Amino acid sequence: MDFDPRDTSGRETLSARQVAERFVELFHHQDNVVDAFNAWVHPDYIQHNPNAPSGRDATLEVLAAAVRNNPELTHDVKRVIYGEGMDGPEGMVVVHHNFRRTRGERGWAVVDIMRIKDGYVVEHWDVMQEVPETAKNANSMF
Amino acid sequence: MRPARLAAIGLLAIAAVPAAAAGPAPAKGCTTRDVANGFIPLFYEQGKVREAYETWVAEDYKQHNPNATDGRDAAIAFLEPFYQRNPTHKMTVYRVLVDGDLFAVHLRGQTGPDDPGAAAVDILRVKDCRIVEHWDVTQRVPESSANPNGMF
Repeated sequence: MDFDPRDTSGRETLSARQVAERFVELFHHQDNVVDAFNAWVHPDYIQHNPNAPSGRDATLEVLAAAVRNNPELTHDVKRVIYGEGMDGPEGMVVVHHNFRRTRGERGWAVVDIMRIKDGYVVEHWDVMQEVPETAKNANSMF
Repeated sequence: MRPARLAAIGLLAIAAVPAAAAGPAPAKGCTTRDVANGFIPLFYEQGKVREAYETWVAEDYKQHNPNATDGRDAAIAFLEPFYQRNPTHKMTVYRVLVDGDLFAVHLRGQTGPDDPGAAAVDILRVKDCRIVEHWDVTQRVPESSANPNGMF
């Protein structure tokens, strides 16, 4: 990694792809939801996940509580898909991952979709599905 | 440039991009976006399951949806009767991202106009002008939400 994901000093010079890389590194790879949100999420972040209120601080409260209650909570990234124009200031990113609250559980398959604009994550959608015990194919959900 | 030459170049450009309508898709020379632009309108918007799958999906398509078996024929066998039994079923595509050999589709499926429906993201991998692999995540849209923004 050739960047410090907590360094926001050059925020206005970063491309949407660079912001996404930093956020995903902190939130998904390091499971550090607090640092990820404080560094990269805009205060007016528009939330589309039905379980969280809109806004950075309101969402962070929900996420930080989940982390406190589940110290093994982890996001295991499977693939990241970038939209067009990510070398400019605005674009969309998709993160397909396995979210687990404890190491032993199957957890959820999740796709996070984020809109990045001018150095911030400004909008978030997601779809979450519990990973079932059995499947009709041998390929896993991932 | 003379009009005839411009017209000829225009025709060559059009011929290089696979048509979205009936007829076999080419076997190579497609971008991922070409395949997305071919498959999305046929399958999601027009509900033409068999045509969409037979044109754009490889026979040995690898399936990651836990409710489905591998292969194109299995997908058609499940989806075609579902659409026939549910003629008011509709899918709305909200956003599409294309990156390398993958494209992602964020959509809603509804059985009819009063059904809040389900949110889904389909992720599709493309190789040699065909969709060869499919992952998805699906979630019913709940009755209530902690925010006023809707899931889409």
